[in-house]
Amino acid sequence: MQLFFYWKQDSDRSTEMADLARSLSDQESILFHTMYKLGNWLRFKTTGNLIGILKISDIYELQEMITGDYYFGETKLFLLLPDENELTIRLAHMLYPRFVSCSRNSEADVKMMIDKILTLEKEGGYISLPNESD
Amino acid sequence: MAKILIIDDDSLLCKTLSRMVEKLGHDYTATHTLKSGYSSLRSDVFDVVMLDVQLPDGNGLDLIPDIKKLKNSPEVIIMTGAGDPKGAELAINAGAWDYIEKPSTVNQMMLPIMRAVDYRKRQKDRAPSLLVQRENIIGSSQRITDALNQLSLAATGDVNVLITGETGTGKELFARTLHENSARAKKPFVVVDCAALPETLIESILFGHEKGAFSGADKAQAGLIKHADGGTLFLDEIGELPLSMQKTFLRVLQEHRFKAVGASVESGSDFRLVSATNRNLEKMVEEGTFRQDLLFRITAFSLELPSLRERKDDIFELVRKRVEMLCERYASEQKGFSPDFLHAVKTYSWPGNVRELFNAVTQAFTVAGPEPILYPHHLPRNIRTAAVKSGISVKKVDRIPAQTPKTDDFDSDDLLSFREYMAEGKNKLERHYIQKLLNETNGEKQKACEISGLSRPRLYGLIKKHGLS
Repeated sequence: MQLFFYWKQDSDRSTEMADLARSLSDQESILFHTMYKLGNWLRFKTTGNLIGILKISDIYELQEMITGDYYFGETKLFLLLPDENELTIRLAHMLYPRFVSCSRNSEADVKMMIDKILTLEKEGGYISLPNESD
Repeated sequence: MAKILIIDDDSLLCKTLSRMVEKLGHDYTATHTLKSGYSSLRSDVFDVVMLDVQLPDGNGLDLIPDIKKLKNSPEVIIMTGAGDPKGAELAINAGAWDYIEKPSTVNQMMLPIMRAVDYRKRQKDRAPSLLVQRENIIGSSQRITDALNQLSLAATGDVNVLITGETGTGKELFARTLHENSARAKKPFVVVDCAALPETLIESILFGHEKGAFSGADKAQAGLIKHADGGTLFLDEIGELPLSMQKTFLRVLQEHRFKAVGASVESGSDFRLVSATNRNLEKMVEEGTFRQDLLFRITAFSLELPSLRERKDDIFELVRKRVEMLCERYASEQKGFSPDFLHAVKTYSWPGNVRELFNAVTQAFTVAGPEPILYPHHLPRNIRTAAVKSGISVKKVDRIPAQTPKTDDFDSDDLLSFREYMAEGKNKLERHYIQKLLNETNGEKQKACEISGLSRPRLYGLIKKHGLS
């Protein structure tokens, strides 16, 4: 299983995102700070079960992710949103995320959920089949 | 005008029923055995089958599964012996539309027939499947077609739907398709991953919270149930919902009202619930880990997805579509598959179902690189191994002679030396084997060499040595 993170450098709460990524660093993970690099990586990522934690800066990023060539496939997405406007929420759910929040302590909640997922994976398979290799 | 098939060994009853069916303005065919009945079913399309249980060549109930497998399978009315409540129960459990107790009056026999015919007519008159968007659900086997038909029925209404199936069968995909084909398509489809939710977070994630409700709640936030207002709430792995939350959620389902954490007033949300699980919820109810009343509530409509093993006919189409998608994604030339590749993917049991198949095909595509054809050696090892094993078990039968010479064949009147005895035995075995090999291969030397592992010169030498042709 592989984690990937996305947040714009110098965006709001980028320090908290970096801390979150560090706290999960014992799991194979990769960081992206531009949507272009994220999209490119996803396009050519053919194997492995993915969990993506994305800090969305604005509604245009969300729209780009929905309409652009972002091959999320079966990736389990965790979205940290900039606001709770109806349109933002609607667009966010078009990516079928496992977690959606705009609270300031969302990173802690994300960590709890991912820890649970990783435990489930070790015990018997959450995304993967038991003994399935990436 | 409907077509009725009567299968009963009682000629008099057959005549009576035939006249009755004619009077109702329908067509009939009457047969007296299971075999002839089945033959009629295979050669014509019927709307209703009137089927006796006690037939000279078997039990009529045994025919029901075969009838159900037919395209446009007819409704079955079972004719059981009088005072046989068990027979009636068996009939209904086997999938019969209705049953008639023999002997019955004409009216008692006519009513189930009229009802069944009327039902069939309404089925035919109904508009074709309302499914509009299903491009991500691939397959045309009977099993997946049945599932899609069920889905289209569910999409017309607003009842709670429970989708069951093994892991990797596409439960979330079906849930999304159901939403997209429903009246709520323009509203959100909200996913709740019950397996991933820590117990300490469930309430605030589902119901939301007020500002200051707990440490870190810097502002009010709506929960997923509110997000799903007007749309569909999809509870994935609903079997993982803790018992304590099941009780609260049941109330939400009943009243569509809930309280956010820290809130003093209730909120409402008009959502349609779709749940999914690969667990046996009835068993969990027995074990006390899932609430019976919640199970009733979420299962207003049940949709079971077939495993990939149950729809092997779809494998080729699934593989083809996947490869097409990958070729498009990577702007690659279209790739083909060798027959062995297809054999390998069809042989494997796919415990991970479609997800595992897609992962394997994607891996094969990547491993193949610029090669235009996919071969078995591009597949993951476990799949190649399974294919090879299935091939070996067949070849083994071909290689070993069915009969080996008996030991008596080696006995002679004079006791030979041990060496002579072994040489004579070896000679006889050799001759027997080569003769069998030539018989099995119809004298084809190439094939004989492949099966035996002998070189051509060696094979010719043995043939000549033993005077075989």
